This record gives sequence, C-alpha cells and structure tokens, in this order.
Amino acid sequence: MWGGKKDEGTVPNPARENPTATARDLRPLGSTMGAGPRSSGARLGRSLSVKGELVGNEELVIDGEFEGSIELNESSLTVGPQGRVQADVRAREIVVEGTVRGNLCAADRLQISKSGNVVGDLVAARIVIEDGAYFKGSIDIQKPGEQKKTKGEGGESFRITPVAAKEKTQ
Amino acid sequence: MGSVLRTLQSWFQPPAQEVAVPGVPRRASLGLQQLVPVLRESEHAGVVDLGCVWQSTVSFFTGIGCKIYTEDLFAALQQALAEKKPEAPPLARVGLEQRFLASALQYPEGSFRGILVWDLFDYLPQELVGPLAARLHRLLEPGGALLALFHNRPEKVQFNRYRVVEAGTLELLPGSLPLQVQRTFSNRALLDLFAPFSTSRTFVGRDNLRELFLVK
Repeated sequence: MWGGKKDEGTVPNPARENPTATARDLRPLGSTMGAGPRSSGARLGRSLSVKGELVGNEELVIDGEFEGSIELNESSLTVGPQGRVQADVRAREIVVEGTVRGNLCAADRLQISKSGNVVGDLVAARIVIEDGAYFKGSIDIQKPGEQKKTKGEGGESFRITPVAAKEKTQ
Repeated sequence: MGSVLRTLQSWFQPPAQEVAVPGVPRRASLGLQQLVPVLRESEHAGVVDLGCVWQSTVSFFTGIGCKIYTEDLFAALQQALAEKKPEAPPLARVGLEQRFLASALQYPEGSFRGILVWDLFDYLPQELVGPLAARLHRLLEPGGALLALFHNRPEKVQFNRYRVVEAGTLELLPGSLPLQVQRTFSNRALLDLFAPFSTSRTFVGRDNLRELFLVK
C-alpha cells in the first residue's frame, strides 16, 4: 500500500526511524521556512505520524505521515518529498512532492512534482504533472461550480459539497 | 474574497505549456486521428493510457472533454518480471499472469471509450498476450476503440514512451525500463488475437511501426 515508485526503491520512513518525536514538530512555518509557499501555515514534521480527520483553513505542509482525511477548502496542502499521505484530500491547491494514496480534489490547482507518487483519483480545475512523476488513477478537470457526472469508481465517493450545505446535513 | 482573487488570477495565468525537448522524435499517428472522433462521440468519455503519465497527454484528452485514466502497465510488467525468482523452474512463470493481471486494470466492464495500449503487447510474455487482449476488450464499451502499436523490426527497437502532443501527433521518448521486444506479430496473429473486435484498421509508418486501431 505504501510502496514507492515501482521501478525505484522504497521511500524512507522517518517516523519509523524516530518514533519518539514530539508535537513540537507540528509548528507554524513562519519562523523556520522563510518566504515562499511554505512561509505560512502549519507543518507536519518528518518524524510525525498522525491518523485522523484534519479540517482547517490554513496552509499545511506534510513532511511526515498522515492517514485519514484532510479538508482545507480555502487553503493549500503540500506533501513534501518525504511526506506520505493515505487520505482523501480536499483543498484549494494541492502540491504533491512525496507519496499519496487517496483521492485528491483541488478547487483550483493540483500539481504532482517529478518526485511525486500518487495513486488515486484526481479532480481539479487545473492539473500540472511534471515529467518523472508516478501516477495511477483517473484525472478529471472540473471548473469551479461545475459538477460533472462521472462514471466508474471514485466519482460518486468524492464530491465537492458546499460547507454550508454540509453543516446543515450534520 | 482572497480566494476568489486567487482563483481569478490563476485563470488568467498562461496555461502550462509542454516544453519542447530538442531531439525528441515525433511521428504522425493515423490511429490517434481515428480515435479522437470516437472519443468525441461520447460526452465525458473515459480513456485509459497504459503508459506513464505525461502532462501533454493529460492536457490533450481533458481538453477534448475526456476523463483520463493512467495505469502504467509497462512498469507493472517490469515489476512482475522482476519478481520472478531466477532459481525457479520455467513452470514458475505460470504465476506471472496472476502477478501481472491480478492488480492491473481492475475496472468494471465497459468502463472506457478509448484505450491507449501503445506497444505493450510487443513486450509481453506469450502467456499474458491473450488474457490482456481479452481484458481490454471487456473494458471497452460498445463502440469504443483501442489503439495499439506493433514493431515490424524488433531488432532495431529501443524502448520508448509515447505521449500525445496534439491530435494525430506523438512524441517518442526513450524509456528507462529494461524491457525487450518478445516477438513480431504477423497480421494473421493480430487478427486472431483481436477477433472479438468488430472493426480493425492498420496503418504502417515509415519507422516500421504498425498502428492497429480497433473498434469494439
């Protein structure tokens, strides 16, 4: 399930190498990462392994392991080169430099970098895939406000639901 | 408000362009030209690419309204072959079919309007040829089409990856997998292999690459 690229070695697992990491690895980025896309928001450090449901509205960088679900509807998620995510993700923008197993839905842009390894179904307004990236799954372009009928697996289980509507139903 | 502005900014940014790689050979593909109208007949047609993922291929097919699936069966084949233990007797290859097909193309029947097979069949061990052809036929919806390539002169073949750059044009990029062409298919062998398909057309290029366009 967590296999790396099929023709390459496995991805290192920092969490297993350092199971004694503490929560201080989950900290704001401003003081450590400088300018750029990682300059605000939070970061899941390389030595952290988290399971659960993550909901929020700030930029998030995952360099460790995450399993569960992620909703960052107005913010961006970056899975760093060492990051390993097994989750369905919804965010405004998603950048994958590491390993992801799960369906990804980006309201705006979804990028798989050359070091990225993704198995899942992708839905986004714009998709950028760098040469050398590994991807297995489906790609569907959906403009904002558009809801296409999809065939096959994944289409029904991963819909964009307006937050207000979701709150009413809960 | 900020998110709306970001979204608007993103829409007015120039789209990502496929960077032309100097020296990357291109070839015309009559088979691809035949496939595109078949895909356009169906709204939001599903098309599966059995090679590796390329931005230009994704952009092309999503640009004509398709939903594209990618499953790199070349890499899957290489992995299945690599798992074969060298000390195992020849009969151990019976398990190759299971290793390769058990996890490949696990989609419901009739899932796709189009399938891009490229030259995968040339690299398949014989025991996988028939089962994969049958599975591809099952995965196509009625009226759907398949494009496969076959080398006429395998001794001169370099393992390539194929990507679509525009309608009817492919780019051939050298691949890194150590796969070897296993055989040359005769026209009769191809007719027998794909007998369940209702229509077949063959186009032969000057590069000794045969394109086989099949309609279910």
